[in-house]
Amino acid sequence: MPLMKGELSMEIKEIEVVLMNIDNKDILEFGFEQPEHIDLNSEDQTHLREVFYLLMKDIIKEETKRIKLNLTICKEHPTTKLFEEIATEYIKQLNLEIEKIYEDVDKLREDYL
Amino acid sequence: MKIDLHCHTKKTKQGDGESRNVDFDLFERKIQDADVKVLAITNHNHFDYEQYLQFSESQFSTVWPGIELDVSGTNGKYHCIIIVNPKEAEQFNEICKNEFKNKSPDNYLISAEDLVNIFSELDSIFLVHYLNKEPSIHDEDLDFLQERLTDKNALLLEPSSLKSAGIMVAHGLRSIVGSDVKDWNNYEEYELPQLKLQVSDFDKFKLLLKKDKSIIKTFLDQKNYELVTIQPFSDLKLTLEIYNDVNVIIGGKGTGKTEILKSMEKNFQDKGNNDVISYYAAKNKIKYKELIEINPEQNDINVFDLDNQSLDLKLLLDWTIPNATNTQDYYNWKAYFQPSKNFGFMNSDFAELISDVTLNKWKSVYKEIKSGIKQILKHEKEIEEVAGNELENFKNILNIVDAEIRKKLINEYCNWWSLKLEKTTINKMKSIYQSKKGEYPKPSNTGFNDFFVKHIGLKKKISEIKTILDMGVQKNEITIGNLPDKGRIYVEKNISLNPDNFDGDSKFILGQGYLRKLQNLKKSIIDLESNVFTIAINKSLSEVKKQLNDMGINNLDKFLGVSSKVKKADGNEYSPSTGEQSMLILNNVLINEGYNVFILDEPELSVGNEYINNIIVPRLKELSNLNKKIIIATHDANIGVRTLPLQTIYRVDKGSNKYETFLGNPFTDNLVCYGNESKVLNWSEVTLKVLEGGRNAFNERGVIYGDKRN
Repeated sequence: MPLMKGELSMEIKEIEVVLMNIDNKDILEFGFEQPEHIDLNSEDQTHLREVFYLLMKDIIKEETKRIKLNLTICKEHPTTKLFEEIATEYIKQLNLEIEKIYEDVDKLREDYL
Repeated sequence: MKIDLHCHTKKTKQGDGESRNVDFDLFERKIQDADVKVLAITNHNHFDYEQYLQFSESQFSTVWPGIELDVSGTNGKYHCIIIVNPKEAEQFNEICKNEFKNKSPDNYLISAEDLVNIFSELDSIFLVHYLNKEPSIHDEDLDFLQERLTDKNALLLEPSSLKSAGIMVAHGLRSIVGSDVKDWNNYEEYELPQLKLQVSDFDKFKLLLKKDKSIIKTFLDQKNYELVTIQPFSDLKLTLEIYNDVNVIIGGKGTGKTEILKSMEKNFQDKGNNDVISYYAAKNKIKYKELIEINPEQNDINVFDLDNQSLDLKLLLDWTIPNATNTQDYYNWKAYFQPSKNFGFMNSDFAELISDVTLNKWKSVYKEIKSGIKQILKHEKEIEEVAGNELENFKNILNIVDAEIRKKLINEYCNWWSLKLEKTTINKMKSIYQSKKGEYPKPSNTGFNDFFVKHIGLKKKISEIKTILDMGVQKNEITIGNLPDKGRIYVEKNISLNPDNFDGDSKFILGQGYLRKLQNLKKSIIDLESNVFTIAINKSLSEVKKQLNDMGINNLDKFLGVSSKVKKADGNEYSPSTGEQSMLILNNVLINEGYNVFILDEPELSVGNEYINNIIVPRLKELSNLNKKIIIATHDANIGVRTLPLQTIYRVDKGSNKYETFLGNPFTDNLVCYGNESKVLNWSEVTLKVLEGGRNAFNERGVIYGDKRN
């Protein structure tokens, strides 16, 4: 049974993030309902923003669950050690920021969401 | 015109000097030298009918019969002069003969009660010694006289000097002084008052008293008219005395009354005083539209009690989707990272991510508390009524709450800023290090937190905008006048920021034709609100910004719109008739005491006798008492006569495009031809003939017309 809003520990909803190399591109694939991916070598903001919007949507929608990203390395399409380290650091920071948002989100939910 | 209402012609009491005795020759010479035009013989406790008849033959002055009596009041003795209408001189003589039989003027003393009983039947003026004129009447005895005297008796006060009389007039007391002559050899040296207007007889003098408390020219109001030169037609130039009072222009249709008015209006306007207001009955249709026309005004926004920050759209207009940290930055950091002993911060994260949510929460709390306290203290009196002395404690608690929350807010603000400064400083140092060493620092964050916070800020702003645009209608009532039987008529001004509250007749601060555009903009804002947390925000935001920029809107006050309805006292909508519209326009002109010149063309048109008698005429009298110049072209007898105009301008059509202009007033009862002073008409006869009015109106004017109306 899921925990209620405001309780100390809440149910975690994990979103799988898979690191893979496809067509010589190092990609993070986010497991939303409609999977979204970002190219770790690219400076293009489009996909990054789409991922952020989907993350925000889940955070706001899931009142009783906490979103957490879980990184796995795709064995079928392996990438390099360097990109593993990059992906690990990136997802670690993203999870930290999501946690921080949860400190505010309940207050915000009452007023604006 | 000099007047002497307190004049002795005989030594009648032992205390009187011999030099009070005067014979007819000396009397004639002296009043001619003194230029006295009206004189009342008022000897002490004595009336010499024969002498009065002789002196009234004077070719230089009108002489009225009178007497100065010693009166015993409840608070001591005072002197009262009684001046009688010459038409009742004989009756007055009989009363005096009877009253003074076997009584010496030295010992004569009449009670206040007898004074009233015996003399008030006569058409008369009671002039009592007042203030420093001894023996003077006590206020209690004055009240007695005021109570007991009738319309037949005018009551005047006589102080010791003309200066005192002037001061009393300025304070609304009807007063006058006479010579109280003691030595006829020096008669011309006595300081005597001048009447504002020439009066032809006793009746007209009393009429003047009835019209105006200040009948005499005093040092305070020497200038009570203005010479105005106008040229209403190419062949006519007039220089007229326009009084700070009612001035009427009468005459048949087509005699140029309106042109004279317009010319007069232009003359006053050209003087640049900007104190002229006019009413032309022919323009009523347009004037009524103007009267009920309601436009949005910038300060209408105040009815919503919103602060500038809430109305400001800068946040929305400047808002852009924040950038996320590129993953390429993480690649650069990992690929080119070389640990440094000296610059440990290159690898540092921030202890806390910066969020303004808490700060904004306290901002919002403080704002609401502050506004709540303000609202509560609006009812300070009512709170005191129920809580008594506890009010002070209550106010202290409110002050403490206010101060503590403010302290908390400042604290939050400091925290937020210190984090922000820390982040900026570290980033700056990383950037400097990177440029010096060609190395890449570890990214501080992915940008997701900032991304989220900034979207929340936008969502909050849009929610606030939507709440404001959904606010209800605020109503203001603008009274446009009162109508008989209907009461107050007002325009209900409906003010709103919500374009959905309006229809095509509404007006917006932006101008005409904005209804649809504002409605579309509101829809776009609602659409944007639902898209804040989606990728579609980009399109929605661009659409809103485009509309805002196209319409030049940077503040919600640009949504301000108004609609209006004319309503009557019971709150129902009302469409005044043509006559009622005239009443309302007139009301708005006449109510304006800020103006000094009132130009009125046929104010009687369409409004009916009752309105003229009950509203217009009394109001014109009030304005004349306020020393306003009122110039009226009229065909109405009530306006032309009952206002007792100080100036009457009469235009006569002589045929073949020739006209004559006569000037006069009801007090002289004359109208003198302009440019030909030998040609004189009778004012009463002319006004009876020229002015139209109901039978009742003419009956009410009996006093003015005397016997002529029969």
